[in-house]
Amino acid sequence: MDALTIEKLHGWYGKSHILQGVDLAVPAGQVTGLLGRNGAGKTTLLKAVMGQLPRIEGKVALYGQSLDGRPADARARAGIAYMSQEHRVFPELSVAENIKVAAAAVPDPRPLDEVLALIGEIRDHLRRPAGRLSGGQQQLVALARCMTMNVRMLMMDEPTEGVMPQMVDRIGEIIRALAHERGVSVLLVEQNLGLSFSVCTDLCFLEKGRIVGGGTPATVSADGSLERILGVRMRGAKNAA
Amino acid sequence: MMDFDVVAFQLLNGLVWGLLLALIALGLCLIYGLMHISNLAHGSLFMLGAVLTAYACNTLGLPFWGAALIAPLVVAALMLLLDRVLFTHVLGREIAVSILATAGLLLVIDNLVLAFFGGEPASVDAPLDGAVELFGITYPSYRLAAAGLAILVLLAVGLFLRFTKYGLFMRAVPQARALAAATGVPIARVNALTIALGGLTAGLAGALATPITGAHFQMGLAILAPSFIVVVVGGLGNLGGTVAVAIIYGLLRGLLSVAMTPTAAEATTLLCLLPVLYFRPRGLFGGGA
Amino acid sequence: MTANSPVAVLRIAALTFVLVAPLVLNAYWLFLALQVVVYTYLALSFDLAYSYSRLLSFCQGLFFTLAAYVATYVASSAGWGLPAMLLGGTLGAALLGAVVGLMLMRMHTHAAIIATVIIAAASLLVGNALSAYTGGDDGLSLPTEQIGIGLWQMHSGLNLATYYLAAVPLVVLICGLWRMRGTLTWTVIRAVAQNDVRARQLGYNVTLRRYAVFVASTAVAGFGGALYALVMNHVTTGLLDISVSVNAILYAVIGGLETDCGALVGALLVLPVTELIASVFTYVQIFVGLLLAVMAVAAPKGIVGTLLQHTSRSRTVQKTEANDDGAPSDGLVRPSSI
Repeated sequence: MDALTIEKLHGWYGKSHILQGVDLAVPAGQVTGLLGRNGAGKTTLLKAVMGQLPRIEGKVALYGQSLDGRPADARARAGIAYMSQEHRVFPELSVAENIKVAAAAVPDPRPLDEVLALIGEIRDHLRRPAGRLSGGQQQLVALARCMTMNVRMLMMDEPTEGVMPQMVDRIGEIIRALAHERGVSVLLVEQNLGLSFSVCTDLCFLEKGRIVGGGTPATVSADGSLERILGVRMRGAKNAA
Repeated sequence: MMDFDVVAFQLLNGLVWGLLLALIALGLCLIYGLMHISNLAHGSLFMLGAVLTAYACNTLGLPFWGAALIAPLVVAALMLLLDRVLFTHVLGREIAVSILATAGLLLVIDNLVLAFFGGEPASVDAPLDGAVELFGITYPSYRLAAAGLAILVLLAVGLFLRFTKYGLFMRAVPQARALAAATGVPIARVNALTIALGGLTAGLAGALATPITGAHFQMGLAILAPSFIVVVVGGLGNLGGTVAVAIIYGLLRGLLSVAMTPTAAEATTLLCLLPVLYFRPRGLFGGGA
Repeated sequence: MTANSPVAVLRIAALTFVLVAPLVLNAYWLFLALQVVVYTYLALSFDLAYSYSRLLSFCQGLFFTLAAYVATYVASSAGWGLPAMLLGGTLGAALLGAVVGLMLMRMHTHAAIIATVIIAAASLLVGNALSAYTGGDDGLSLPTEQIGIGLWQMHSGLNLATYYLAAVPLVVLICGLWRMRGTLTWTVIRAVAQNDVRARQLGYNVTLRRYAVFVASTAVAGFGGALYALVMNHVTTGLLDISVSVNAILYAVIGGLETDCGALVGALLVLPVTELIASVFTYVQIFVGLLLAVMAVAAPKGIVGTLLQHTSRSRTVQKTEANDDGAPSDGLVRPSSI
């Protein structure tokens, strides 16, 4: 079964028509990568699915349950989380409070112990204001918040942007653990192709507001679509997949 | 020693007034912090609390404490209604939209009160008519009771923000609105609650002020400048700063009242605080944006 | 903008009406027309401050009132009586504007708006505290009814001379704003009003320009205030009531902010209606407030702004940038450019 189904999704910012009919199915319990050049509409697509775009048309469903017309907070409580690029944490709340917000907001939160068992690094920082942590640590707090929400679907926008290399690997590890051990479906927007290729089971390409193809990491680098759409060649992609 | 008595009396008056002002500014500050709306009609809510209290006491014959309980609830209910018909529609839009809309609301509330309750000042007898000895002067016990209640309510709001689920939401949303929504925080309900709380505290300040100052449809306009200046000098959206500046404002006004008429004291206090904004455009406690 | 567009027709109609009003109206209606002209200066000053200095100011009424008081104090039947009133009022307002502007330009947008509210509310308190000089609620009357320049003398109050003394500069001012569109100065002022980062990158001193425009707006309010003293013969601290400013703001908002003739169109439409209703229903300000709230929420561009948008939409496709909440910009600050 598909976790997230998107049909003929259109989205506008003011008068700019950015999403021009996106059709996409994100399979359950897997990590799906969304790739595209800058300005292709990747972030806009995630926002549209979350209901955080001024004008949206089309259909979005989570495990067959329609999300259309519902505000972002209702979508989040229905089981979909969104880690945006702009705001990772509530900077003036402590790490513990950041997690508590999620626990208080959703109907069936995951217990703190379970979250700390997977993301142990933040245990030492629970009382510190989240805004004082490094970029990578903030990203772990964001992951912990999403994990606390106990969502079935997690959308991530550039989780490794501005993060140190060893932290990139750690984030990849957590993403894999969430998907494969806890059954969370992930839609990942990631410029870091190394990470995308190592964690994603499927990739799809977004160009000018439409899905223009996709496949497994191996097939997209073999058939040249990766190079055609992104203008890059993935060295050793087959090995990574 | 006569002079000291006058000074002590006026300082106590100033403290009481500062605490009531803090109650009013609290809601203004919360609503600004959460929704980035400066509610120009906020002073009118204070006025409405006072006028309703006077009406309930004098015309309906309710005991003061009953009236002082009901009036703020009515103001809070009105704010819930306004949340639906007005505030929801100005949220997230240009600043001018909310400012102009609430400026219109100010005229509507003030003139509706004038139409229904008339323009004559109303007075209410204090529920406690004794006086207590304090610092060598006798001070009306009701004013101390009003100050005590104001402190209790300020503390209660502080505890609410610190320790409850919705308090946590109300602190989280202003920091990152979109993130709060994506985390599942029921934004619309948090907004409505904040707006109602603003109405409740402003209405309560009005009710508590009635036995001291009376009730009049223009008292909202009179409180507009003081309540806004303490919010701005306190650092827009900074709750602790706002309460502190409100009390400083009250004390300063009390001190000046020793030497001048109340209007002149109010005007002078305002003129003293305005230059602060020149030297500290973000207010005394406004560190961030 | 072509000559036959709806806005051009509206502009010509409003200006023509102001100029021919004395020929077609009786004394009652002409007095209303004169009030429209005088209050349009106040509405226009609000519009100038908002549109080109990016300051939504509730304290323009202070400059208007101060000028009215200065004019009343300097009024005399001497040969320099009239210029003293008009110049004195205008300069007095601009001087105070220069001081207040210094503070406002330092402040963050939102805090600056609140500061204007505080200044407006405080000025009423100060005005009443200084009732020995202002006359408080009772006010002051002009010391003379003979005002003039050189040997030419006229009566204060409503008459043809005062009417045209008020109306002609307004028509000239509005035509001037209209003509300025498209000139380099205009482009720079608009750039500054819309995007100070970009304007700064282009090497313009943003704050200085905003400041200059703000002081100019207070001078416009001051000129209107001086005229107010001349035609009303009387000034009270009641003019400092924030509702006076809010009414003028309503004219500007109904007509359309950031347009040359919006303030005049709004005043022409609203002021006579509120005066008429006020004669049968005392609490007319309830409707004024309601109208302002509804306009702000539903049609923040006003009549002229909406017409302009429709005219320009056929010509250019404009992009609206989203704000940080992901909501579309209202275009209140940035209506369609022409």
